[in-house]
This record gives sequence, C-alpha cells and structure tokens, in this order.
Amino acid sequence: MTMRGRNRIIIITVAFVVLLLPLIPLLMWSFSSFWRWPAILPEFDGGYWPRLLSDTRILPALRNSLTLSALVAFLSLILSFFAAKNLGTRNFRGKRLIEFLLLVPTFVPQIAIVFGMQTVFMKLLLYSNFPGLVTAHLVFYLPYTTLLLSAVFENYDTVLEDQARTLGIGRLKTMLFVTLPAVRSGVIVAAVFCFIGSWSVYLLTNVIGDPHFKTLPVVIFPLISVGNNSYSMVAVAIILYILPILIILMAVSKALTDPRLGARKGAI
Amino acid sequence: MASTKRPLAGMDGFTLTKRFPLLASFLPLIVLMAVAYVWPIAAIVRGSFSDEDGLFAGRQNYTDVLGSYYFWDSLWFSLRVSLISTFLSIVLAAALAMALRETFAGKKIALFISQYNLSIPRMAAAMIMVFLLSQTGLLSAVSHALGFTESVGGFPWLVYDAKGKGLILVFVWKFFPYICISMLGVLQGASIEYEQQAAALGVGKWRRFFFVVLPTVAPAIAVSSILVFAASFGDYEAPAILGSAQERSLSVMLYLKYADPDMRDRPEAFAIMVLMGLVLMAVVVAYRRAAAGGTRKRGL
Repeated sequence: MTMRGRNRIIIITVAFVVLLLPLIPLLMWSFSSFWRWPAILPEFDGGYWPRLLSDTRILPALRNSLTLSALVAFLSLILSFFAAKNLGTRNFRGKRLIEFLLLVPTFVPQIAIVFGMQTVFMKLLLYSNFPGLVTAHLVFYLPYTTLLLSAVFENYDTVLEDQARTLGIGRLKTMLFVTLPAVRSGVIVAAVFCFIGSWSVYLLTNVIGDPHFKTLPVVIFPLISVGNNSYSMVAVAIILYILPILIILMAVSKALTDPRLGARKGAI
Repeated sequence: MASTKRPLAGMDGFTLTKRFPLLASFLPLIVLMAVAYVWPIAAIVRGSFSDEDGLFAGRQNYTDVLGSYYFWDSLWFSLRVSLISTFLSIVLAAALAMALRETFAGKKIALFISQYNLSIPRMAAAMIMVFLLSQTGLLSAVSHALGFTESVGGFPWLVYDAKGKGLILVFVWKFFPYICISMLGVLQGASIEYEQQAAALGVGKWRRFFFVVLPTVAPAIAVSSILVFAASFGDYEAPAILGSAQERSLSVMLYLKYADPDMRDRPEAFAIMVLMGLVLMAVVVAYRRAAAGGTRKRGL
C-alpha cells in the first residue's frame, strides 16, 4: 500500500510536532528564571546556565552518572560475552529456560524487588557504598546485555573461527582478530543500550546507593517533586541528563544501522 | 607453535573449534543472580508470609491485600493507564510507520527524529511533560493567547489528574516510536510483495491494510507492545512525578506502603511485591510466546 504524498507529509509533520514540541518549553525554561502564565515567551535572562558552574550538585552528579553507567556497561560486556556467544551460537539443554530467566529482571519492575535487595545487600555489606551500587546495576543490566549480545551472535557464523583455528591461529588471537571484528557493531550497540539502561535508573540507585556518589536522576528527582526549586534549574539538569545520551546515539548511529545487527530487538 | 601440534578439536564431528565451556561462561551470571536477585526474592516471599515482628503469618497478608480496596484501585489504575497507553501507541506507530516506510528525501533525519526520545529517561520525559502540559505550562498559555481558555483553571488538568491522562501522554510519547521501529522492520521487507500481489488482484487500499499489512506486522506489534505494556505498568518514576494524590499507580502505592515510617504496612507491601512479580512473570511468558510466534519457534 503506497501512501499518497500529501497524506504522508501530514502524518510525518504531525508526528514530528508531537515528538519535538515538548523540547521547546524545556529549552525555554533552561534559559529563563522567570516565566509566568499567560506569557507565551519567558523573560530570557540566561536562566540557570550561568550559575551551573558554581552548582555543587548537578555537575558532580553528571560525572558520577557517566562513571557509573560506563563502568556498568563495560563490566556487563566482559561478564556476558562468552555466555552470550554460547547462547547465540550453540544449542544445549536448558537454553530456553536461561533465555526466559534472563528476561525476568527486565520485565519485573524494579520497585517489586528493590526492597528485598536492600535487605540482602545490607547483610553482604554492599549497602550504601559504591561496589554495592555497581552490583545492583549489574543485576539488571548484565542479563539485559547478555540477551542483546546473544541476538548479535545468532547472526554470527562460527565457520570463520573454525577456519582461523584450523590455520593454527591461537584462541586469543582468533577472538581478538576474528570474532570481535565480526560482532563489533553488535557489541557497541549492546554497550550503548546497557549504558542507557543504567543511566535511567533512579529508584535502585536511591535505595541501594552510595550517599557520597549521587547520580543525576537521584539529584533531579527531589528537585522535581518538592516543586519549590526553580524550574530553570530543573530544566538545565534535565538537558544535561538527556544530552549525553543523544550524543552517544548520534556517535554510534552507524553501528545502529548495521544490517548484521539483531541487537535492536528488545531494547527499550 | 604448540597450538598446531595439538590435535584439532572437532574429532567428534560436531565442532572444530573448542568452545568456551558452557557452565564457566554462565558462571558470573549465575553467581550474581543467585546472590543479588534470587536471595532478595526469597527475602520478599518470606516477608510476605510474616507479620510485622517477623513471625510466620500464613496467608494473612495476602488475604488483607486482596480484600482491600486500595490494592484493587491501584491495580485497576495501573492496568487502565498501561493498556490505554499501549493501544494509543500502536495506533500512532502504525500511522507513522506507514508514512515512513517508503524511501524519500530526508528519510535518515526523519528516522532519527522518530526515535530520538526512546532513550530519554522516563523521569526526564515526565518532567518535560509538566513544562508542556500543566495548567501553567506552555500549551495552557498558547490556548489562552488563542482565546480558547480564559484562566489557569480553564485549561484541563492533564498532569497530576486522577485519571492518569498525563501519564498516558508520557508513555505514549515515549513508547510509540519503539513500536513504530519494530513495525518498520517488517513493513520495509516481506509485507511489500504480498501487498503488490493483493493490489494486482484488485484489493482496495483499506482492505489491503487490514487483511494484508496488519497480519504481516501483527507479530512485531505483539512483541513490542507487550514490552511497552510491561514498561508502563511497572514504572515508578513517571507516576511518582505526574500522579495524583487520589489515584495511585500500583508502584507508587507499593512504595508508600513500604516507606511508611510506621512499619506496620511492610508485610502487606511484601505481598504486593510478590503479586506484582507474578503478574509480570506471566507477561514474560506472553512475550516469549509472541516472540516465538514470529519466528515459528516454541518456547516457555
């Protein structure tokens, strides 16, 4: 069914207005400390941006978020690589069950498990410190990364590795120079989605987290719900919360559109 | 080199390369999940069968929860919001996917815009919607300037309302691009051929959409919309920011019950966690069924 040009333009225009419109008040608020109804435009005075450098919460939290999510993505990749490869390229008993179990932490809401984790993490001395925070994030994003990566390996042919090994190339070299290049895009995409997942976590970080290591969502949430803070500050914090993700997505857009990729499946 | 002298793996006629051992590859996952996921589940289940002093209480907490109005109220609110969000997302996604499927100038940018907000955290999405939709937000000001409304109160309550309209808008805004992308994967491939055949046989436009296009994309819609349903049903952040004090989502109600300084409600909170977990496990089963349907596999 081909859609007539005019209809197509209408639908795309409407969709883009819907998608982009919410960014307008966000940007306006970030540049203005005063915007009172019914003014359509705020008074632009630079908003919270000039005060950002002297802010003691937002920038450190941005750095913390970047550190935590990068670390979680890195660890998830390393810890899930061989499991994902086995899951994607081999058939074995219990594979279905493993795939099922790996989905559970993604589907079951974090609110339904986080307080149980709190009790257990206290006993393990993983409560309210950095190792505990990383572990808590891994609980959700290691299974997730494993699934994303295993989908990548489903489209991967082990014949190449077999050839390399037959030619007498060592295992490590085979992995570094044959396996990894073949799944490069998939690995990048899995890492990016794992990063984004961990980046979005609020509740878990707040409940298990390290009081000396506050991430951006943990800093932003009370600003929002208390309500008496300046909207401009909230808007600036939210822009800083969104921007890194958009930059990363643009940077890896080539890997994202790699036709060999199955990793897009299930990433949300 | 020593490696060439070693007998080649694969003498079993099964595999040439010696693969990474199965159990060892899953070891990090198994250890982590056993300690930091299964043990917490056990703690929650135990809590749900205990009273506030930690003594065994039998089914009491479940009877209390299932006999309470607050549980059913919240469950209904969450179900209604997430089902409506999912349905609206599917409709919007279908329209956009049909518009985006063909090649046209600027398609790359169009595709980027149509999925950029997928990765925006829900907390940020919720707050952005407050700026836009609240009674003193931008839309309200525009509506005043155009003469549709005369006062702040004249603009409808879209956020913090008891019906969850603001929540639905956030979820639809955030999730419909995801369903759209899943549909596009199918619409740009197999579906085209069938449609051309149907068109050659003289099948009309709308009939083609309902009887050819929809059945081909149905598996993709099923899989992605189940994910959207689960994500909106279990979300805590958006309802915590946009929800009203009268009607609470299951997640917010659960949080308030657990966090109450008077810890008497905790056993009931544990029971709600177990019930919520069970519901979402059922959703995982549905998801696996739907995903298997697309590739003609059967699974859990």
